[in-house]
Amino acid sequence: MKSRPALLALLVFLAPAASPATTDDDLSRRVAIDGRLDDYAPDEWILDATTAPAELPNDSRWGGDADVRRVAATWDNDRLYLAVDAAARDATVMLLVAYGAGGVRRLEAAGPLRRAITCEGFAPNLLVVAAPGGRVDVARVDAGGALQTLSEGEIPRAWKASPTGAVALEVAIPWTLAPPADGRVRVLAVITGDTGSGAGDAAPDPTALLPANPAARATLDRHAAVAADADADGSPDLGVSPRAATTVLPPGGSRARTGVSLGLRLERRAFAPDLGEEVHFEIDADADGRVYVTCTVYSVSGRPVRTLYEDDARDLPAPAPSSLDVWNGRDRAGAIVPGGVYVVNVTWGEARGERSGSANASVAVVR
Amino acid sequence: MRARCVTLCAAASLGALALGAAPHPARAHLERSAPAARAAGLGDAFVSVADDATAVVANSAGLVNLPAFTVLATWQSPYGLDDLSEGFFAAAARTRHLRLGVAWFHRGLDGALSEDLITVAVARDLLRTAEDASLSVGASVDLARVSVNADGLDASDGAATAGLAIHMRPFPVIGVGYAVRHLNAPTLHLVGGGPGTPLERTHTWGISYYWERRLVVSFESALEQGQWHNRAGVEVVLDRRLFIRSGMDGRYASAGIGARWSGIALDVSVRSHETLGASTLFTIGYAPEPSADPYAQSP
Repeated sequence: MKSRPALLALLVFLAPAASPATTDDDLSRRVAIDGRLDDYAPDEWILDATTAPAELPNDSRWGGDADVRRVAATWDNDRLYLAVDAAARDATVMLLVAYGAGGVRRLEAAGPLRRAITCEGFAPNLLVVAAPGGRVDVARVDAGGALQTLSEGEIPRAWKASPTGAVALEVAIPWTLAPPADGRVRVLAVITGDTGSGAGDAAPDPTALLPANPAARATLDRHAAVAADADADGSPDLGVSPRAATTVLPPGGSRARTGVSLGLRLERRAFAPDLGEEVHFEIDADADGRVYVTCTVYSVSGRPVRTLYEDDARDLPAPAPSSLDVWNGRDRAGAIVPGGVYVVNVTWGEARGERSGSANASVAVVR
Repeated sequence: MRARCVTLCAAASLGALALGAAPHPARAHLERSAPAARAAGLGDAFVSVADDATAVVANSAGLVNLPAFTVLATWQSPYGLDDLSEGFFAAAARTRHLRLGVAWFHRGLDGALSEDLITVAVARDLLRTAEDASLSVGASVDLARVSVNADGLDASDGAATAGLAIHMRPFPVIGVGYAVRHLNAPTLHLVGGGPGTPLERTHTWGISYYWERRLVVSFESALEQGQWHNRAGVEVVLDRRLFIRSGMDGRYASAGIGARWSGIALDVSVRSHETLGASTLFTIGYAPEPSADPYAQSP
């Protein structure tokens, strides 16, 4: 019994030493941008092997040579510090950061990449690209979509590789260059390699394995959302645990995105294909991100007449008017369909072949 | 007499099937859909059942099995589309020698298109035995009218068509039905210079099985757009006043319930299309209580 107070005292004494690191007023003395990662505390590794959702089995087709092991994030009053711990022999390591509106979803827009990459659910507006030789480029995407290269003086950066293939990438981003519009900074780390060298890796893992064929487009549909300014008062929150402030989106287990809503509007109610008329339609969206849309015309009794397109990629919420969104009143054989009521149906999903919702609109064919 | 009627019916069926084997153009105006909730709940497999006023359009020969007077009305909004609606009204009565029926089907696309089909049908028994075996025939005349007034198109056209039907109960537990509609396959023209839209001839045959007064299982096959489509349904009777139904109709799965009380019939069915979504049908009807039992034979 006498030992219990002593044990409690020991726990109280040790508690501060075991507490996680938190964001602080000035971290510049603790966190140096030098390519060494041992100055990050455990609670500043926002993505690692213990982060949920877990990595996909066999997520890195390169085995140990292409793996984003950990991603760290922390901040003080002036800067956001990001770091990547990876195994990346002869590969490009990228940090993608989204902090506001705009941004790019197709990373080819940032310059020549070794494979085509599409981001879903977020559009990075700060790209940190570390080439195998050690050169680190940082570019910002302005509101018009143009890339603006940022100097090392504006954004300090460091890259360090070991003979074993371990790579460390660090940047310190001033809040003045990347103010989080909604209080959250979104982060994704990616590795790409040479043609023929495999799929690469991402952290957080996308919901489906990246295609092993490097010629195939890679779709990255998850990111880490770091609530650096949760109260959205315009100042970064201090004294918080970065790990606790981080959420992986979308969460694991389901690809369904809540709140996705597509509507279908036809420009006319009736048309006469024999007179050369056709009907155009628009897809309205109440969501953001990429969806794959399939459009099929049915007779009113539910008989499929023609599939106008299948799994067409649309970037919401403002899908560009598509020349595909028109029906000329012909069936799949090219013949004009009989007069009557037809139903135009669009279905969409967040992956090809997936059908998570649909919308209908009716139109009359007159002959 | 009985053998002659059976031979006549078999010959008529084979002849009609031969007619139907020829390719037919697709039809969209007035394209078939389950007109009432009970038929929809049975997967639209109703040609061999045909024991309520829906028989006017499903199988006019079935009118002989209806009571002195029966009426029903149905409303549905296909696939939940706000601007598309369908309504169906049917009534049947009998005289000393004939059974008469009239029905009106309407499909409307708000502010654009209107399709109407008025059907007048007659039926009579050819044979009825004390063992509850029966053979009846029916004939119908349809008046179709389609009008459009939208987006610079303003036109209408109409046509008259005809149909024939057979209904047979060779045994009390078996029903057999066959119907052919739009025998003359008329064409509706709404745009000058175009080929118009033919009302395609359709053939439907089916068979149903009755287990005591508790269960109906129905199957039918229909020749539409040059292809045979199968559908089937089952109806379970609970306490003679409550009905549960389920059916399959190609791209649809359907389910429904019905209730009977003092001659008033209420039926609700949901048809779920694999892509387009669900359509809900509501039907209210009236039939004198003694004959509200769908398993009852006519006197």
